[in-house]
Amino acid sequence: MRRELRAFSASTRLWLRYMAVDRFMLFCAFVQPFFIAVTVMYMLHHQPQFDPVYVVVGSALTGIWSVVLFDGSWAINSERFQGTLELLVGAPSSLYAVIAGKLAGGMAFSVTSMALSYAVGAWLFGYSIVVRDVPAFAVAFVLALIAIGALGVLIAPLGILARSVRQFLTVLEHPIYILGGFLFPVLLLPGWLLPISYALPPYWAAVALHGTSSGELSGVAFAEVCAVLLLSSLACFVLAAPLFRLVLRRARVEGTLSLT
Amino acid sequence: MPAITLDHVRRVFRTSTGVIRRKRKDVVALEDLSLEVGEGELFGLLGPNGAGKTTTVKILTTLLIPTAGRASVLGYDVVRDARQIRPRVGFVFGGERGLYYRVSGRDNLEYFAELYAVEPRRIRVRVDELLDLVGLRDRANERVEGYSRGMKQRLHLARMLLHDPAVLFLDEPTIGLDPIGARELREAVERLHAAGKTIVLTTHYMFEADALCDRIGVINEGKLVALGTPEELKRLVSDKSVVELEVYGVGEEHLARLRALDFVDSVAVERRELRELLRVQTALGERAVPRLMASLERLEVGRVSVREATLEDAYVRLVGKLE
Amino acid sequence: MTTASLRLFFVGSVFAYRALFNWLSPGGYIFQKMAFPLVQLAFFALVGAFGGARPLSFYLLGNAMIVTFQAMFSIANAVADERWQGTLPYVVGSPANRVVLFFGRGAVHVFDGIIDVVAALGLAVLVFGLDLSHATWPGIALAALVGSLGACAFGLFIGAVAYLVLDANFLANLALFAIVLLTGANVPLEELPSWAGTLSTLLPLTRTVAASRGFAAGGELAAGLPLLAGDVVVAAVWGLAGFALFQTLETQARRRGTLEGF
Repeated sequence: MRRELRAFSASTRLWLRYMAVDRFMLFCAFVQPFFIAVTVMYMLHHQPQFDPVYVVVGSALTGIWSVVLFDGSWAINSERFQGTLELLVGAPSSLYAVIAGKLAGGMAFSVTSMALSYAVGAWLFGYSIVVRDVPAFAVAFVLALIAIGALGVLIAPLGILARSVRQFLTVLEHPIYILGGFLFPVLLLPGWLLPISYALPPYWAAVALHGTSSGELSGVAFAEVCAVLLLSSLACFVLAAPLFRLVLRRARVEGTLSLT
Repeated sequence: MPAITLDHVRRVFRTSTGVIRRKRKDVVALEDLSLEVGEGELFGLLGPNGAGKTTTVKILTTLLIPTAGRASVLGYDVVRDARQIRPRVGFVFGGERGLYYRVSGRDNLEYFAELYAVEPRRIRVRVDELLDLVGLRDRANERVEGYSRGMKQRLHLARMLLHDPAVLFLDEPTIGLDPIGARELREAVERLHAAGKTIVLTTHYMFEADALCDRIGVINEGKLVALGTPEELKRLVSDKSVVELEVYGVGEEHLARLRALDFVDSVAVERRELRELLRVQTALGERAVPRLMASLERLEVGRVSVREATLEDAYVRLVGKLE
Repeated sequence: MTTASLRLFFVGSVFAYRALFNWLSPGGYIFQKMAFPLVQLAFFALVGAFGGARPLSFYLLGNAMIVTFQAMFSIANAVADERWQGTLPYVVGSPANRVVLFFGRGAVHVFDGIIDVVAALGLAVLVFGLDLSHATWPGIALAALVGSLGACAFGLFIGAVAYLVLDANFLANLALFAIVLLTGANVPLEELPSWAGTLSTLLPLTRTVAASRGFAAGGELAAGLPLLAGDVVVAAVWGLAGFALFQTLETQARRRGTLEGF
């Protein structure tokens, strides 16, 4: 366990460093959520009950989901392209820990740059962004990140399972924006889609973050949402383990760890 | 107990081609390979491209599962006991890939030191030691993308040694290096050998295998075609001479005619600018020359020389072609 | 155009597709190509519906025109892949006609764009209940064509810039955001600050979006034609700018030896 934790934290640090020196990544993590926030801000600001924090939280969720989906589905393949996957598999640490650490690094990086992006946005638009229930929001924020990140850990082995699976995954960016209710209530969706929403951790992450930032979610209801986030994270982490084993075993049988 | 055992190992790759209707094709990388490498031995695996050298190394480093047969390293089975093998072996594949380019050489080493669970307090010291060993100390804090090919190769060597493994695998480590870089790398390998490591080295440079290895296994088309010390392999051709003929515009029909001669053991062609060099192995020595010339009728023949056979000629005879 | 050029034009286009299908299976490609723009349309339409500032048809039509910009990704990526695979020196080193080589890459994707618009309008009508019963259909068809042309021209420009900054996909994403925000598809132009309005006029889709809304409401073909003509001109300017840049960069890359990329 100690060994896995070391691999996890070393991977997180390596990826933070990797992205911090990458001007393109910096720009990307900064610009995408900024554009979505600005566009949505224009689209929603006529509402009588408009609250800028809703747009900030919602577009941050889109940004986090995009990073997790992209990093997750490419996490293993990008190592393969670099020729480092064989070195990681040949090392005694588990690939699971390495990939989870990599995702954590990516999320930490994107969350930081997003915060920066919104600070600039708020300053440009002259909005003040106020979180109503700060302690609850802080808890919700951590749990939401873990829940979405856990989904990424589950996605990672799926990403190299088959090309068709990866194609399917890359299309999942906007559907989760929609089903997660990031920037509008899912009640706008046709009723038959709602059970799918409720089954998705990002939906509960959105409920937790929107609810605590507006102050509408508290007490038992808040505790319930937190429990759902924790349970879904646990489920993803547990389900990912056999998938990693399966995928690695298959890659060693088929000889697909390297490109050549 | 041998450090490495391969027991009738076979490895088949399944490839597919075509867009709409994919055709499956089985490619046999290793036909049936059995050999043993003793503890502390420096074993050379020699063979042309595609002979199965890399496949063998990848099976032994737990990166590939054999299709049939069994293989073990330090008594651990490569399939069942991969977890036991990984901390005990180190490996390097030739070429420049397999490094994190956007961070420094030191970052790369420190990262893998964590993955190999090097004792945290020792990491700094160990990384510095290895940077000194491979002569990268001055450039250690620069990003890897700025490194030359040789520097990347040396960084790989350092990475392989981080956890002080007992068994080392070097897959064509000198490929693409300049002569000085290649010599330095060979010296490093010699030092590791002297320090008691078990080393498997694949190469298709004959002199490299000759100079370094205790024993050599020659594989061709997935099969072991010869095994022995460099001297033993040379003995395969000790009674032979090599006639080298410089010719202009040799064709397949000429080669076929030469190969059909009863006193000719093998014929290899090396294409040079505007001419070809034919290397004919024969027991006849100088006496073969007139008869060879006769069967190359009408072909312009330049310089002709006769010399004693070397390890390279032994290799050519075994695999039937020159690299 | 000579036969050799025609052939190059054709072969180049087919080659672009073949390269793609070796990477993605045809079914997967179509799925990805169709699914991405459609769900993006759904997302912005739903945000628009939630905001309630304009009728739903405003967002549906705007975003239906935006789907043509999938073609921009295809083209920009084709150029980027060439660099990535290291085939660029061979292309540049070939005696092929530069104009044909450059624009041939874009040609096929015009059809992609049009097919995507058809699918998008289908989705808008069937799922979101967009009413097109009074629409001026020839106008809608022309708008789809002009939108796709603009997307291709812009894609060629992005592709050329990608030679300079290495990352076509990133640039194409950035351009798509600009299209989403600034062409009036989601945000009425009059709400944007004046400097952003200037950018809007320079982007290839702005007038097409306006024209398509007119046609959908049953406006006359003649009323929308000047708008579409405007976008054709804008598209031509972007395409030519891309070509000029491609020529300049080619010379520079040869001088600096950066053709191989990495």
